Amino acid sequence: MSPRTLIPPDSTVVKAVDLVKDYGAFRAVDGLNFELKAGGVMGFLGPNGAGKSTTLRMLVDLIRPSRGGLLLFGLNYRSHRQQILARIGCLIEKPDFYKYLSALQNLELLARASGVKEPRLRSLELMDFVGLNGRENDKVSSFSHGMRQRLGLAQCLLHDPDLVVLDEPGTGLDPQGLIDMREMILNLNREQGKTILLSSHHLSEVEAVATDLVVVDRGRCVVQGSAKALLSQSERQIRITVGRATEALTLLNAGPWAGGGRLNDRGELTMALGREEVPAAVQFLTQNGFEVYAIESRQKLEDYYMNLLNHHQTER
Amino acid sequence: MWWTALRNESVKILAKPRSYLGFLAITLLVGVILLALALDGKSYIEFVTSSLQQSLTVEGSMLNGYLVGFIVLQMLVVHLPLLVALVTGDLVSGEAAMGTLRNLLTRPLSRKGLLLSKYGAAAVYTLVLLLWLGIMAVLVSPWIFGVGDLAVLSNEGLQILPSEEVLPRFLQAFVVAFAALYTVACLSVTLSCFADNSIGPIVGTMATIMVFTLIGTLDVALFDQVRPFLFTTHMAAWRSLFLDPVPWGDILFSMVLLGAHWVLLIGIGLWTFERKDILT
Amino acid sequence: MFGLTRLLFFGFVSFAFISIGQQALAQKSAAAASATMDAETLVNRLVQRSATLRDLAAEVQVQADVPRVKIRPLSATMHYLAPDRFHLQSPRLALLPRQNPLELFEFLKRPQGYRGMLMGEDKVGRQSAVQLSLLPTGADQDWQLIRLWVQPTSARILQAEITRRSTGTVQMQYFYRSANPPTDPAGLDLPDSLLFEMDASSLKLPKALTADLHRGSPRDAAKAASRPLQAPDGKARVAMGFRWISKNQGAAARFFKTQKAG
Repeated sequence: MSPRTLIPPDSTVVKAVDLVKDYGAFRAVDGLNFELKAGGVMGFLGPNGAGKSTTLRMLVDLIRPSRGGLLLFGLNYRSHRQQILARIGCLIEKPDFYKYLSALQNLELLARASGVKEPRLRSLELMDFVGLNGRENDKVSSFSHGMRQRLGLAQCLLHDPDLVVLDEPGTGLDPQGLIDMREMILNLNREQGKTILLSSHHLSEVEAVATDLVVVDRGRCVVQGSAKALLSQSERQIRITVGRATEALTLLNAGPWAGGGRLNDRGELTMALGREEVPAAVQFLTQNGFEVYAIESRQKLEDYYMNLLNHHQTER
Repeated sequence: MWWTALRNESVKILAKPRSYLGFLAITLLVGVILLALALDGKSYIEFVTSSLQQSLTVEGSMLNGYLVGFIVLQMLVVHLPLLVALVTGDLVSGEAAMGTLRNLLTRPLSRKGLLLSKYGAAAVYTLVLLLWLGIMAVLVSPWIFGVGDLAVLSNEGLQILPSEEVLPRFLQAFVVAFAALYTVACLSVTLSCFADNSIGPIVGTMATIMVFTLIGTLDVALFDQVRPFLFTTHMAAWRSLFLDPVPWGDILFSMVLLGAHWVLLIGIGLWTFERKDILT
Repeated sequence: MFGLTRLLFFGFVSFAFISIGQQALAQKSAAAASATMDAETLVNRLVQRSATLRDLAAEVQVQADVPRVKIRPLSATMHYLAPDRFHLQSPRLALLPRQNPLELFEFLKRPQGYRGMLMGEDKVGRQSAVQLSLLPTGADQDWQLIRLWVQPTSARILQAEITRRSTGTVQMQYFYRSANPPTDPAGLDLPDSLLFEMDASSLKLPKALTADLHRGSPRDAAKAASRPLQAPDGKARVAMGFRWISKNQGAAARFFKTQKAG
C-alpha cells in the first residue's frame, strides 16, 4: 500500500457531480450532486428505490456510473482505482463471507487482499474491537445475523481506511446491538478521525451520530447540509398527547391551524408550530373539550425526513 | 499482490468441500476400472487379439500396469472436463452468488489481477486433479498389474511400445492433456464472469464441449473447415504421444491452438470482468 | 594308312560316345540316386536328425512384420524342452507364429504318424532341393499337410509349408550359416534363422480399446486406413535369428524346473 496522505480537516473526501446511472431504460440515479467533507459522519437517507445503494456501489467502484463525475480524495477511479480503494472500507448490504471458513480465516484472507502487513494480528485486533473475541475459529455459518454485522464492520476496517461507507449496518440488530454499533461508529469518527458515510433506515441511529445529512429521492439529491442546521431550520414539531386525537385533528383542520397538524404512525397528534403559537393551540383544544395530557417540543429527524419527502413528492 | 491473490484463491479452493468431489470421483472410477480389469482383463485383451491369434501369438503379458493406466487415462479424460468445470465454473459466479465478490472487489486489488489469480487457481486445480489421475493411472496400476510393453490401438492399428519408453511418453501425454483440460477450465472461468450463479457456467461449459464434439464427429463438408480449430478436436492430442513415430508436428499444432484458446478466453474474461457491474 | 585313319576316327568317335555315355550315366546315376533316395529314405534321414532333439536354449532376435501392427525388433532367450515346452524369455512383448519353430522336428520324430511322398525336384533360391510331402495318417486331425523342400544330399530342410487346422498355412524358410550340415547323420541340423510367412488378409483389429469421442471424423479414419501398409501384400512375416547357447545340454530342462519351483 502506498503511504497514507493525511487528510486536511474539511477537505472534500467525496464529490459527486451530476452522477447518473442507467440500467437500460431505467434511470436509478438521475444527476446526483453531493459532497462529503473529511471528519464528518454523513447520514445518507432516502426511501427504498431512491438510488442509495446504487450510489454507494458507485462510490466503491462496484458499479460504473453511466455519466457524471465522481472524485474520491480528489482522484477518479479510472486512473487511481487502487489508491482510492486503499483508503475506503465499506459494508455494502448484508455482510457476506465464506461460510466454509472461520471468522478469522475470512478476515485474514481479506486482510491479505488489502495488502495488510500482518493480517492475522490485524484480524484479531478487529475481532476484539467489534466484540467477537473468542469466536475466531468458529465457522461463519454458525454466526447469528448480529455477529455477521459485527464481522462485516471488522472486514471494512482491515486496512485502516480514511473513509468508511456503511450501508444499513444496523439491520437485524437487537437494541443492544444497535447501541454497540452506534458506539463503534462514534469511536471510529471521534477517536480515530475517520469519515463515515452512513446509510440507514434507523433514523434515530442516524440522528444520534450524523453531523451531515443528504436526502435522496428518485435518484436526486433533495437536500444536503449539516444535520444541526437542517433540523434547526425546520419548523418545530410539537407532539400533543390528547384524547380523541383524530377528532382533534379534524377540528384543527377546520379551524385556524388547517394543514398544520397530522397524526404520526403512533396515532399521536403532531403540529408544526412556532414557539409563541403553542399556548394558543393548547387553549383551542381544551376549550373544545379535548383533554391535553402532555406537550412535547421536538425537532426529530424522523419528522423532518417524513415532512421533507412528503413535500418533495407533492411538488413532483 | 497477484501471488497473494493466488494464495487466497488456493485457500478457498482447498476449503471448499466441492473441490474434493473430483478427487473422490477419480478414485472411485479408477478403482472400478482396476477391479474390472483385474477380474476380467484377459478376456478384454482377447477381444483385441482374437483376430491376430489365428496365426500369431503374443508372448508376454499385454495386460500390464501401463496398459491399464492407458485405459484409465482414455476413459477418464472424457469425464475430467466435468470434474474441472465443477470447481472452476464456480470461481467467479459462485462468489457473486455468495456475495463475497463485492468484498474482494472493494479491496485495493485490480480487477484484472483478481481475475488472473482465479485463472491461475484454475490452472493449479486442473494440474493437481490431473496429477492425481496420473498417480492412479501410472503408479497405482503398475503397482497392481506390473509393468511391460504397452499395446495401443489406434486408427493406424496396433502399436507395441517398449516399456522403457512408456513412462516418458506418459509424462509428455500429461502435459498435452493438461493443455486440453486447462482450456476447459479457462472456458468455465470465462463463462463464470457472465453469470451470477454457478450452474450456468458449468452447464454452459459442458454444452459447449458436447456441441463441439458433435461437430467434430459429424462427417459434413461444412464442418471440415472449422473442425481443426475447435479445442475439442485436440482434446485427444495426448494419444498421439503413443504413436510410433510420434507426430510432433501435429502435437505442436494442437498445443499452439490450445494456447491460443487460453489467450482468447482469458482476454474475453478480462474484458468482461473489467466492465461488469457487481449487483450482488 | 587308310586303316590307321579309320582306326583313329573310330577311336575318336568311340571316345566321344564313351564320354557322353559316361556323363549321361553319371547324371542318370544322380537322378537314379535321387530317385532311389526314395521318400522313405529321406524321411528316415530327417527322423534321424530330429530324434536327438531334447533340449535347446538360444538367444533369439525376433522381428515381426504384420499388417497394421507396429512392433520393434526384440532380443530374447528361447528355451525348448521336447516334446512341447517352449518359452520365450523377455521383458518385452513378442509377436510370434502360433506354431513354435521346433514343432516340425517333433512331428518328424514320429514317422509312424505320416506318409511321405516325393513330389519332384525344385529350387529354393539357387539351391537344388527335392519336394517331400508328408501326409499325416494319425488320429491327430490338426496337422493336415506338410511340404518340405530338402537338400537331397544332406537332408537339410530349406523350406517348409505347414498346413494345420488351428494355424492355417505357414511357410517357413530355413537359413544356415554353415554350408554343410553336421557330418554325424544323427547330429542336430538347426537353422540359424527362420522366416515365417502367413496370410494376414483376414486380420482385423478393433479401432480402440474404449470409445473415444475426440478421435476425429470418419474421414480421418479412412485417411489413416488408406495410408500404405507395411507388408502391403497382406502377408504377415516373422523373422527369428538364433544363436544357439545350448543343444541337448539340459539348459532348458533346468530353466523349466526353476519355473515350476517358482
